[in-house]
Amino acid sequence: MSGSHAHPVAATGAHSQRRGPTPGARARLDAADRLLREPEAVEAAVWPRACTWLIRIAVEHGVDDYWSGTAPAVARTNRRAQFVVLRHREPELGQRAEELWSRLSRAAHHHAYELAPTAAELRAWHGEAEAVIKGLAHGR
Amino acid sequence: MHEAERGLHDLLVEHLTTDEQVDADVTGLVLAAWSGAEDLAETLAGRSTPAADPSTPADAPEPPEAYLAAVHVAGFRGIGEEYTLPLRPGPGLTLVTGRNGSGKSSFAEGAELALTGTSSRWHNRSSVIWREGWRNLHATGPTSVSVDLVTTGATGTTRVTRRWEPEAGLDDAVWTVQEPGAKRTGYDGGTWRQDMETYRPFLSYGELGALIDGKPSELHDALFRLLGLGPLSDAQDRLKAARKPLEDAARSVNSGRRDLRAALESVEDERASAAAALLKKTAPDLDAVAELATGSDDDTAVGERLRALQQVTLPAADDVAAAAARLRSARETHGRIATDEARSADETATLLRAALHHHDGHGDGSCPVCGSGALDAAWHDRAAARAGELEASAVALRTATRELDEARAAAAALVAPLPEPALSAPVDTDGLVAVWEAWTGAAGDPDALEAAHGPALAALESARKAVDAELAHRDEVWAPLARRLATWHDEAYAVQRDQPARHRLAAADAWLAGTAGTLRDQRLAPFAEASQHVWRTLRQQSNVELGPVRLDGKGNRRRVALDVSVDDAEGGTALGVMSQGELHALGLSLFLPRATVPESPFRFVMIDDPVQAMDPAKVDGLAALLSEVAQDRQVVVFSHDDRLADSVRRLGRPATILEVQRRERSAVEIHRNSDPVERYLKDAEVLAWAEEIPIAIRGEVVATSCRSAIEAACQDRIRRTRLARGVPHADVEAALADARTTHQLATLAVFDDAGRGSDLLGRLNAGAGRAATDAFQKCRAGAHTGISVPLRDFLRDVRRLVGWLRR
Repeated sequence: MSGSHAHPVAATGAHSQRRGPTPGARARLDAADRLLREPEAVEAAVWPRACTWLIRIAVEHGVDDYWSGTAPAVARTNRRAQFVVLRHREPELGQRAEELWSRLSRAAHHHAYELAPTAAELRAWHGEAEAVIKGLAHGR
Repeated sequence: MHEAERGLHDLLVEHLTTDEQVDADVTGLVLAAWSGAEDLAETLAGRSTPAADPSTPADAPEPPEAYLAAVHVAGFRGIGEEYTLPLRPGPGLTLVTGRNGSGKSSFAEGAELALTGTSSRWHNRSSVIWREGWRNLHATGPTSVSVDLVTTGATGTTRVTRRWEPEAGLDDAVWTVQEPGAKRTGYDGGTWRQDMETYRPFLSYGELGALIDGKPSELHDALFRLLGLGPLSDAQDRLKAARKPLEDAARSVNSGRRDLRAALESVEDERASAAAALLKKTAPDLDAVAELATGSDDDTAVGERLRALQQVTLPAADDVAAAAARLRSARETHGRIATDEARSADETATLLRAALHHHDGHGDGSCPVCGSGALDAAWHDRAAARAGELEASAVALRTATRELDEARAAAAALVAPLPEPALSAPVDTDGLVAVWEAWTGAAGDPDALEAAHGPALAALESARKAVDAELAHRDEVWAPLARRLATWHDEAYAVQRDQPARHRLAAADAWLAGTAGTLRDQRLAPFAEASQHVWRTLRQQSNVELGPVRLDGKGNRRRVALDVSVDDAEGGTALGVMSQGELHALGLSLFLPRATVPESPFRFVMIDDPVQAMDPAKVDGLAALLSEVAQDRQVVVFSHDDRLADSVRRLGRPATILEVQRRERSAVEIHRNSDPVERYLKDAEVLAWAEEIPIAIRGEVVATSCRSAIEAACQDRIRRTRLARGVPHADVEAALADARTTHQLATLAVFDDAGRGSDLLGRLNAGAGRAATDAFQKCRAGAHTGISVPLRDFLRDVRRLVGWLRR
């Protein structure tokens, strides 16, 4: 930990205010990619879970941005309901997005005794997240 | 002899010395057979060897006990650059966790490969897929696996390494060992080679199933060695091997006797009949047999008759002619001389000589015989001349008579009757007998003699030919039988000579066969008990009962028999209805007792992923069991998820828990895997200060990590509460799965009742305080929206909340 800094305060950004080509998702995917390439950038052992969270948050940003551009009302329902609607609107992409999100959720939440994912798994999820987010941006 | 074998030897001696049915012979043979074929041969030969003496102690060197200090793997399977799995040598439980693909199994396989020279993963797998691709693609340096061992009685570590040249195949490794303070030398498994197979301290997931449904004979053989039963069956084999030629010979002699007797009875020969009569007994008079077999035809009555006939001779024709001529001449001379006067000449001469003597004494006078004649000088002269003449004539007649007698005797000498035995020889002699009568009757008559000789000669010649033929025929029938009889005699003699040894061996063999079962059971009992203990610990709610473990079958059908029954249903094995998890538990019931017998030099066991198919209850059982084993063994367990670690933590068992993580390009790192709640909180703290993550994103990640910490704390609490109440594991897990959101999990954790969700925030407020409740809310939202307060304050509040949840 670098103690020389002031208390970090994460900038807030209500996602309802966000517009544009999913900059939120992009930034999070980039952060995840950096951790994957340089695990020592954060203290030992944190990177696999941090990466998982970042990729999952990136996907959620992508989905949020999709709704804000197409059907803002949907964004206020819970995430599972959002994926049901998404599958209706974009059958193939919706399926992929939900599958990826489920996997990331399973790995990110403290569930089912899962251990931290390997770099290989994370790289695959990262690639899939890139594709899904690109598809969502295209669909807006 | 290793520990287990010595134990069995002691047990065997005890049985031998306490069994009253056992005599010194059997004791000596059994012990000699245990010791080896040479000692057995010596003892059978009647020479004493120390091995056959029950008071000779069995030797068994104490092997050093070994613990693992580290496993180094480089360029092998999932691991690129060299990485070390550090282990604390000594008893204790180490859990190495890591997702599938993290590289954790590479350590397990590396350790097994380094110490045994093979890996169960590749053993018996011919597939190219399995045998290739074992090198790590990202490795730039050498490929090697090493194990550091600490052994009792030695300071420092011993390193066993398998290193591969760049192009070498999996089996072409250079195997070396480096003992403390010594140079590295070539290694071939050393004294541990057999022990590695016998006690097998490694168990992989694949093997776990194979222990039950794999080749049953392999486990049987391993148990056999484990219990030291090998030398017992070796001793049995040696007794049988020593018995076999003797028993075979006895059987062969007996069946040879029956065959020979049948052959003897099928020919007409009095020798054959005599032999057949001898062979009627199961133990024939061998001396009589020998006499028969080696005797010739000369000794038989029929042979004697034939030979009597064969030996009949006739004089040569010249001799017959000479004798006839002599007789003829003697008769003629005698006939001529033997006149009446000549026949009385002797008498007359004697009379004249007496008268002349009278005249000489009395002088002239009248004849005292006739009384009318006168005896005077003139008479004297005439009478003296006459007496001389008469005397000469008598001599000639005597000579002729003697010659005639001699000629007659010579002719008679040429003629002999046929000997009595020859008359009853088994050939046609009628013609001969008739001719022979004429011949013998002709002795006094030279003409008849000459005439009879020719026919007699011819008849005799033909009779001889018949005799020769008959003798040859008799030889033809008997000679081969005699040879067989002689051969059989020699074999029967050897069998008779070896009979005492054969009976002693049979007694020893029978005793050992009868006792081996008892010995096996006695040796197996502690193992079977340990197996049942493992099973009872693991089975938890399973309705499958494990009965005694038995060594069953022979030869190719040998196996380890397991009596498993479901719901106390009697009979049959329930293997078919057991779940995979139950089968694995059963596998562990066989593996652990085997790997942890006191005789094993390995004080460690290494188990790769035993929990895969186990339900949560069995995982708890396994955690308890492994902790128990870890009290005096080093137990290293690899696991692909956190269930076993969770169990160990929840049950409060001491353990070192490591987590293997795999970065990109096969770089592996190992960290201590602490309590997950602590870990998530620490993650959150690390991330809060991680400058490399944009500040806008950091709050989301920190909130997510904190939410995981809260969820982990809630799950922990739910499990503890419900399991303590006796709720089955499966029900607890189902309730956890139903609680999808953090709110639901917290509700369940706080109230032990999923229906009180609306009371949650109020209860949190009252219990953990307002700040903690705010932090709870921020965790849920912040994962998506970030955190708007200083992260340090937020983390402090989260810690307070977690502390309250875990109280």
